[in-house]
Amino acid sequence: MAQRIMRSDELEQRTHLIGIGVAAAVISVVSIVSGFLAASNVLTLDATSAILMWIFPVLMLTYGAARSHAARRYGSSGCDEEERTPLYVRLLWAAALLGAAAIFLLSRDVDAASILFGMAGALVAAGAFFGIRRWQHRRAQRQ
Amino acid sequence: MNNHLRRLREQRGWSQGDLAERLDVSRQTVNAIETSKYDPSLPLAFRIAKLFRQSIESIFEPARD
Repeated sequence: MAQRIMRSDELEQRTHLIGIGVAAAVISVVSIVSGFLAASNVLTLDATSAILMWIFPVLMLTYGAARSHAARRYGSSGCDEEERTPLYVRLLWAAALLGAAAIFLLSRDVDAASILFGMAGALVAAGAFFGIRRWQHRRAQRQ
Repeated sequence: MNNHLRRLREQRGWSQGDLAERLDVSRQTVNAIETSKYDPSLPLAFRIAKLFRQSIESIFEPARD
């Protein structure tokens, strides 16, 4: 991630900063509210651990959405990918990692495995969506 | 801030991608500067001025209120 930002030019670094800022703000609010609810015994330990499990995916999704919104504000179409690894490949890699973690948890009979399988499925769907969009965009450019 | 970047680029027959490569930035950045959606940093403005062999103030001018 750091290398990706270092390789970016000044406008891309600004959109990264906006994305990270928005994601940090959203996650901070969710974390502090969950923390207070857990401290006052409104949330059980299971519910708190379930929330903690969602922090990373929500962080990445919020960052991606905020950065995409900021890039569009500066005139990017959202389909212009000049990065070494396209978005759909990164999503599929994340899905593979979550899938592997889910299989590991399943082998240990941990209930959270089903949540991770769900997340991995959602990432595969998102990867397929962005992959098809990229293919359509490239085909339209060739014509 | 307004600028004459698009006119200067088109005079030389360069695409946005060509200019981006010469300035070592992305094509999106060139597009954002040309459409006045983004004001470049001072180092980038100097690079642009040097590339077109003009002064910064002849390429960039303050927006009229």
